[in-house]
Amino acid sequence: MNRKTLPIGLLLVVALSVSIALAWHQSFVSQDIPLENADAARDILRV
Amino acid sequence: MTFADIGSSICSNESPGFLGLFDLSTPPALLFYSYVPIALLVLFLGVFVFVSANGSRESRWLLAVSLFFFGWVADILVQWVASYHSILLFAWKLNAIFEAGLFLSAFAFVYVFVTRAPLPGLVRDMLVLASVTVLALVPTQLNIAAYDVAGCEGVAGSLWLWIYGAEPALIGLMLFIGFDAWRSARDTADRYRIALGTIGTALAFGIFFFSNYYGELVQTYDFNLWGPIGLVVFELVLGFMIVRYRAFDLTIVAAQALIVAQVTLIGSEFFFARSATNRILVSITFLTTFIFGWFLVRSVRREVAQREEIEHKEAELEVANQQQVRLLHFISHEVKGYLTKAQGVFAGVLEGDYGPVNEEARTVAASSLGEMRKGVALVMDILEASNLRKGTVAFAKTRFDLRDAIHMVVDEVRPMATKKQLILEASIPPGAYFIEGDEDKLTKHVFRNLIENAVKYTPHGRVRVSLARTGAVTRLVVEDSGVGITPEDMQKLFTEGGHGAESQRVNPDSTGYGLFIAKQVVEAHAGRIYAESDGAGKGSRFVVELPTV
Repeated sequence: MNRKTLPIGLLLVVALSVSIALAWHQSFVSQDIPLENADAARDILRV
Repeated sequence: MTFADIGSSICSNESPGFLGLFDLSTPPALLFYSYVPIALLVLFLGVFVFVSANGSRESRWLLAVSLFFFGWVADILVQWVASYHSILLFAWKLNAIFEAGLFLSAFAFVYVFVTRAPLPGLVRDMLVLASVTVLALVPTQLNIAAYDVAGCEGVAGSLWLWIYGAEPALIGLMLFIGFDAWRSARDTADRYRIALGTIGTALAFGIFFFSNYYGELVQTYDFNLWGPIGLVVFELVLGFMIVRYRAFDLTIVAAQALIVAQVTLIGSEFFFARSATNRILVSITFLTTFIFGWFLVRSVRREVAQREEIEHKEAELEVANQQQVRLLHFISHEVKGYLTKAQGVFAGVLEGDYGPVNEEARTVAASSLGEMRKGVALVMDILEASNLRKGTVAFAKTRFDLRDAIHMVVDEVRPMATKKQLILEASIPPGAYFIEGDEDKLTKHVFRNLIENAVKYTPHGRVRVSLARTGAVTRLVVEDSGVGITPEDMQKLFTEGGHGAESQRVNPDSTGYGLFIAKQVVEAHAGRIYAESDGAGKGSRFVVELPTV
């Protein structure tokens, strides 16, 4: 492993981890995502 | 209404029977049959090639492609079977990572595969930049813009336009790099490797891209199911090519892949088995396949190991043989030197170079000179045979009339035949019998050798030499009414140092190299030599066929 591979590898691992963590947070915790066809769903759910 | 309100009420046909999170009854059956075995097969091959090639540069990138592909398939599977919208959304978001990673690693793979060099700094930095950009955009709405409640799916954002735009561009770049390397490659095998590697990868990923893109375009995701099939072929071909020069055998991989695929396919039946009877049947089939597969792979492995050992021994034998030939050549050469010197001394004694000698000494010198000449002839034969075998003999290429050459040899041998009271006749119909080749070597090692042999091995009767032209072949036949050849002797007639059981009794001067050399010389002239005999005491017939010019 040369001198440049390690920082690049670390950068990619950190970016990957942050990216997955944020995607997880949005999907499971904050859930702040716009909905499409919500009217149709509202009819079914009656909310 | 927010995303959190959806709960599990929409897409209500989904019941999370598997791990309490997934409903395996929703997706089309093809999903399990095509995706699961393919993903496992690709992963297996990626790891196998990586281990077989001792983690070479190409195998590392192939492993990266395999891992991204495995992740991509797992992600798509989750999208099909997830019962909760949060899991579904998460899977939709992560898809960009796998898709981008798959194509970027495939590009890097093609680069290192065709150039056999590490990625240049610029290319590597571009790949890193593209990866970091995708990773940065994954959690944004540029990746998944919204969640479609009616279709229970993510709505692709503008990042996907870039991904779908970059994919054909990367495929184009792969083809360009492949073509460039192909053009500058000198070796045919290397060109073949580059062409197959580039076209195979571009084709597999082209199909993969098209099936995904088209499925997305017409919103019919069944199309997407067909894309990954091409990748298995890609993995097989490329994996084989990476490790073909190392300890790798396609037979073992094929057997292992077959068993993995079968076990996976049968294993996927567990998802569909509803009754206890079905489950038991599937279990029995699964176990049987597993056990027999184990034995199959083991026996194939053993057979391959044996074959490899034989090949290894063969190579060792070849080296030992070469060493022996060199040694023999060296010794013969040295011995020839001593014999020639001794021959000179005895000839000098006979010719009176060392003053007058008495009759007894002359007789001894004459006998010794004869022995020396035989010795020199034998060593010359051994050397000639060794040179012919090594392929270091140069043949002149001149056009000459065979008729003249045969007449000359017959005239030279005639006194020997007359001395034995044999009839030596030459039957050569008028005409020209031109052939192209080394007249000296053919005359000395083939024509004279055969005619002299016929005379030597014929105690009484006749020797007949005939020449004929049939189409593109000129045929010389030397027939005699001599001692004949037994079927056992026939086996070793043209072999190196091969003596017939009785040959040395009839002809004590036989070196056992004459016919071997004759055969080598004839074959070097694209000709054929063979012998026929009805057995001991029934005469022999030697035939030489040479191409006419």
